[in-house]
Amino acid sequence: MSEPEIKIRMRDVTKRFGAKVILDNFNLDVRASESLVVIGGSGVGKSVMLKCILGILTPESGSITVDGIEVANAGSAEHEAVNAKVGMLFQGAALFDSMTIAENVAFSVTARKPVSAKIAREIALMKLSMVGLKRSVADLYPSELSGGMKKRAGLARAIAADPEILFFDEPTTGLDPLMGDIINDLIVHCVEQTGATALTITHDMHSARKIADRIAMIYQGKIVWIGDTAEIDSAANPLVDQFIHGRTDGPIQMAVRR
Amino acid sequence: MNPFQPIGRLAFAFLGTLGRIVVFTGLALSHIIRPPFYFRIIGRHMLEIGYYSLPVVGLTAIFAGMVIALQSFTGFARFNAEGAIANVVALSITRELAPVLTGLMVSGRIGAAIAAEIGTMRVTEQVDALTTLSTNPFKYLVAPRILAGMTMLPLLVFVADIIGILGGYIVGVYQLDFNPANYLQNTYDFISALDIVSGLVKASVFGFIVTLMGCYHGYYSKGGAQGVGQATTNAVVSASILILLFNYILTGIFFAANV
Ligand SMILES: Nc1ncnc2c1ncn2[C@@H]1O[C@H](COP(=O)(O)OP(=O)(O)OP(=O)(O)O)[C@@H](O)[C@H]1O
Ligand SMILES: [Mg+2]
Repeated sequence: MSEPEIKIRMRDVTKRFGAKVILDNFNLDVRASESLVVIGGSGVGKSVMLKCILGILTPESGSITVDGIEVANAGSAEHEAVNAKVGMLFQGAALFDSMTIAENVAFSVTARKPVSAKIAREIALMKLSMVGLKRSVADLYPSELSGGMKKRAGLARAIAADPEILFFDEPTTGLDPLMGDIINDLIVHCVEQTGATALTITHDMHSARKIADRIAMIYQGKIVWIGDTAEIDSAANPLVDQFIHGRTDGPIQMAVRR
Repeated sequence: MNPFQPIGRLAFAFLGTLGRIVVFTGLALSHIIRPPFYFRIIGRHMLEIGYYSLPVVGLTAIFAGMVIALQSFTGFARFNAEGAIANVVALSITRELAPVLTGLMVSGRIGAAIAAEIGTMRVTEQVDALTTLSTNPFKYLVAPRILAGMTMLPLLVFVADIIGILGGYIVGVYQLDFNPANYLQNTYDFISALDIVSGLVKASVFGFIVTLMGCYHGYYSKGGAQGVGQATTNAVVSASILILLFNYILTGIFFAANV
């Protein structure tokens, strides 16, 4: 079998905030057209990892390439080239609160494609219905939506321009189980139908099993385990074992006092 | 402890901030002159800065004109030089009071609003979201506001000139019993194009300062609601001080040769 094509390659990436090392010689390969899910405890640096790829944060050292373009410590031209291919759902949705929901989603379309405002709105309404948001929501402002609705609107904005790379930061957090499953199906659909590459962060193991081709786990600034979704239950890694079963005793040290 | 250490640290912090402002200004200017231009957004900010500031600026100008007329009357009556009041009002309004007071009022109104809006966008990751949506924040957020500030402030100051002189006229004619025709003639005779133009140029510079400081402090705000509050305060304070500083510098440039 030939080597799978690598879409995103992170090599020896180190990111610190002050003295605190978040990513420590971090390595990760995301294959083209795969759905990779990254799991890991709260605050281990999952969101930081995505922001380094997007150029929102600059790592101190290491190399990050997207389709062969180096983005770590690159200029704005490289970031623009990469960002044009990426759709990102932020953990806090990050909707523009000066625009309505439909305008938010349409913005993502018009920023990238030469389409009229009318067509962009049609696309926006279609994407909103794909994430289960009713038409009546389209003309509300983000402040008028619930947390889960904002999340879904953010998701619609991320997929609106049919990007080839999708980053989802906790897409199902804050959703009820039924809606969560609709979103899981949507992510699977995006990857299978459009051939997009998806990198998803989640704590939700049910969701991870459903959408992932492969799962990777971050702990103390590194990937400690990566493998096919089917292998995760038989992973002979105590960190993974503790995490997916949600046990408090084990090698993962929780910084709480009892 | 070395007593010079805090001074050195302060100096470094100051130079660091200065450097960041210079880089920010350079980036902003480069995006003002390069396409694409977001005309609709520029228009919206022009309306916000130009039109909605009119009441505040008008009130400020009319009282400024009135008080100058009153004050110069008490002064000039001692020398029997009441005839110069129209002249003093026209000069001080067009050269100094209209641009400076308008600049300060707009920095409180617009500079603060810009810092709060961009600051909130920064801390809620909306600025990051813009970049991921292939939209440069300098182009989309900063450039339109600065352009609107630079073009709308001269307009506001021109209105303030007229209203300020009208304030002086009201006090002069109705309270101090000047002849209306004489008062207007005096104003018209003394005022020169340079007085008005220098005020409008100042206004454009102040519009640049106000919007730049609002954008800069908003763009670099961090740490949630408190950080945004801090950014708003810093935007207004720094813009006000810079306005007064540049007012002095520009006055020097304009009127050094011909006082
Ligand atoms: N801008 C920042 N400045 C300083 N520290 C930061 C910053 N952003 C993140 N951190 C730190 O980096 C660490 C990782 O943050 P990150 O947001 O990546 O966590 P996460 O893995 O996404 O967690 P969660 O699952 O809770 O979202 C945290 O300890 C956080 O304190
Ligand atoms: Mg996170």
